[in-house]
Amino acid sequence: MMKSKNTVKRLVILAILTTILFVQEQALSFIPNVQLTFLLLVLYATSFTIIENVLIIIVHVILDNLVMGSFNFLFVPFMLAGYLVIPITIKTIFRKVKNPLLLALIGILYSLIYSWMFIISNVFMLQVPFWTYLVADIPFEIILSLSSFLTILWLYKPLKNIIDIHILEYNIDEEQMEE
Amino acid sequence: MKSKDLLFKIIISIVALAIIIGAFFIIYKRQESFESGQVTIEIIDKDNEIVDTKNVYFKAKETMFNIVSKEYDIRYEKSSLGRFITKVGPIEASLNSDYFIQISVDDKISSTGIDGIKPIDGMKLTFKLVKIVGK
Repeated sequence: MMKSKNTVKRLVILAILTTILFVQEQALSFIPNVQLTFLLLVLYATSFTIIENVLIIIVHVILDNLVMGSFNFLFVPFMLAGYLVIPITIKTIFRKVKNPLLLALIGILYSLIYSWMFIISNVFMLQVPFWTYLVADIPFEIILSLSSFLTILWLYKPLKNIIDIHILEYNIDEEQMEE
Repeated sequence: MKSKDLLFKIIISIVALAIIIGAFFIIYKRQESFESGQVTIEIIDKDNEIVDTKNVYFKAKETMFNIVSKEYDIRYEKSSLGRFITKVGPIEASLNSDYFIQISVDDKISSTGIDGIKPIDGMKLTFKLVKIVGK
């Protein structure tokens, strides 16, 4: 009974965090490529399991593409791959990285990987030459990378503390439950 | 040591912000003609047929959007990236349709939208209705 209560609590936390991820992106969509998405995905990747991260990302990608009218088989898989790189690498090759400055630098890498994923789909879908797309995308890549860098650098640590406090509370509940 | 770290963070943040502002400046720079001249506007439909061609004269300090809108019924969606053309004269492609209007300058696909094209004397501007692959 108590275990299912905690599972429900965990699900509710994940649902709220997914909502925050989606809403902030829509709210900031009037400024091109300025967002908190990479900050939040790095934060979630360092705080939750890989399965939970995959679920958050799948829901976010589906919602985002439905709202933006870009839901098609040439676009969604690349977006999904661009985001899934974050929890996969944070749980494996970057699992020991805790320093916000290093995470912010890795955030630049994630932003570039995400942007480059769309070269493949856009060149094919819009029939734009590769180099034309690449050159036109440079200012947008710079904004995405540096806004991710700045948000991770300044906001990762305080937000991580907030999430850890919630997770800590969750663990205390579990310990009390075991007693 | 902590104040040194904070100072370092502040300095790299200022540098990053300056680069972001520079990138925004490139994106939103208003592209106006330096001098008067003439552009050829060509419109191609989904069957790859030229449906209209016009030679349009422009004055100094005019934008490409102004030049095109003087000659054609033009509709657009305003986005954070600038104007997204959805109709020029006889061709139309709404935002969620299977088509989009591709812009080319001198037969090369433009790397910017209409707001990013600077009018130059003798330039050829092509609007082509293109099907989005995969939709």
